[in-house]
Amino acid sequence: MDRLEFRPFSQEVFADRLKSGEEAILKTLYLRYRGTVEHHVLQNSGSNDDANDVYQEAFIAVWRNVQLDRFVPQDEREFAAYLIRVAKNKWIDELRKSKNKQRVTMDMEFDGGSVQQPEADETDAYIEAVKKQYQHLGERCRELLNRFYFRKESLRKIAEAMGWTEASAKNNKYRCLKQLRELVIKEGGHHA
Amino acid sequence: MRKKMSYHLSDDELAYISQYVNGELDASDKAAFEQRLATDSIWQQKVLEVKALLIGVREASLADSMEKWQNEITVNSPAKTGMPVRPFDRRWWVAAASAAAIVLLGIGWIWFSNPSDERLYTLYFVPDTGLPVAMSSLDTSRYLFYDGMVSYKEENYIDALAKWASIEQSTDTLQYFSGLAHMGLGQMAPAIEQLLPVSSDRRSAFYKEANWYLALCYLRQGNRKVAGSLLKRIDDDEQAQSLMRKLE
Repeated sequence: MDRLEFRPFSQEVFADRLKSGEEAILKTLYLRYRGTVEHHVLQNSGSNDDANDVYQEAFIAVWRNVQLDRFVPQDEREFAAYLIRVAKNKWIDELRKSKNKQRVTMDMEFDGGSVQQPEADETDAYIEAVKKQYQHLGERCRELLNRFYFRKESLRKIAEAMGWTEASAKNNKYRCLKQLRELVIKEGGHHA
Repeated sequence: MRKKMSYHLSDDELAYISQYVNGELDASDKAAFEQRLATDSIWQQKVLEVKALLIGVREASLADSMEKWQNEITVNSPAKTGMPVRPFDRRWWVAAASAAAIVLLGIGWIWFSNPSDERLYTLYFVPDTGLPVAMSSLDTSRYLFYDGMVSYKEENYIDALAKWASIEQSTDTLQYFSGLAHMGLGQMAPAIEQLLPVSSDRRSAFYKEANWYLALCYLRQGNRKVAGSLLKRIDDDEQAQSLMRKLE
């Protein structure tokens, strides 16, 4: 192990780095706790597909709460506990909705404690509208926004990858954001 | 955020607010921005809207990435049926066991009358027991490595590979044990891919072991010639000498 070089990932900056959405951290967290949720769903009448759906929904819900400061985890342990509880609650909801209602046992109800998810508000509705309209953006716009706002690539790197100058990459980024907002306002019932 | 927006958001404002939300402003601009934010309620609404816009973009990207990560895991996993885990029905279990016994008798006859590459592989392949685990490390990459090592030692190779996949810094240690985890899953091609660089790095602490296991991978694939040449690299090892004799 002597030749391993490790990147720092201290608890002090965990919340900040998580909130900023560093892809490496999100991937690490996603992969680490997937197995726990998968095991729980498989043990409680679910399939692998059910486990994937529930876990992905929970992961996005938790990350949104982090970004909106509804949930500020002090460290990874707190994040993981919350993520797993949200996923378990979502699976209980799914079972209740389905014919498997009778399989929601008392053990499941109290396993890990309940977790109060914030009520969806207009911000949530707006975010959902953005996600829907994002799919209607052109491929180049989606790639540009993904690279800049999710993968955190520099404008210089994006410009190189997409065959633009740095200035045009910057302009295109704002143009794409504006286009996305217009789609949301037009299709989502929001009026400017 | 009010559903019906009572304001006009100019292009410049969209650009400026998105820079703030994305943490691109320098300290003085940020301070000026936040001063206005504290007193201007319309500005607050605009910021909330742009924040939601960027969260939507990120969530859409995250959803795409999660699919990609999920596919990476699926590719590395043995076939799954997608069905819930259910206990064996006893009658089927007895019938299956009887059928398996007959098949095993057949395989046994072939096994001992016709020594094969696969038989030699099974005789010689003993998984590396792994490294001692030090979970107290605060360093995430190191923690992640040892966390994967716990799964590896439990022979939960899928979880081990999933945990190790998120360590970006590739090392001979990581490659060696990733190769071994693939061997544990019976996946020779990815095992070879991981072990090859280690087997040619004489400075690696795993040089000898990597050559040994790589030779076994090629043997399992029926490539005795390459297996033999790899074993020659470590011909001071008794086990390697023993296998080489069997390959001749």
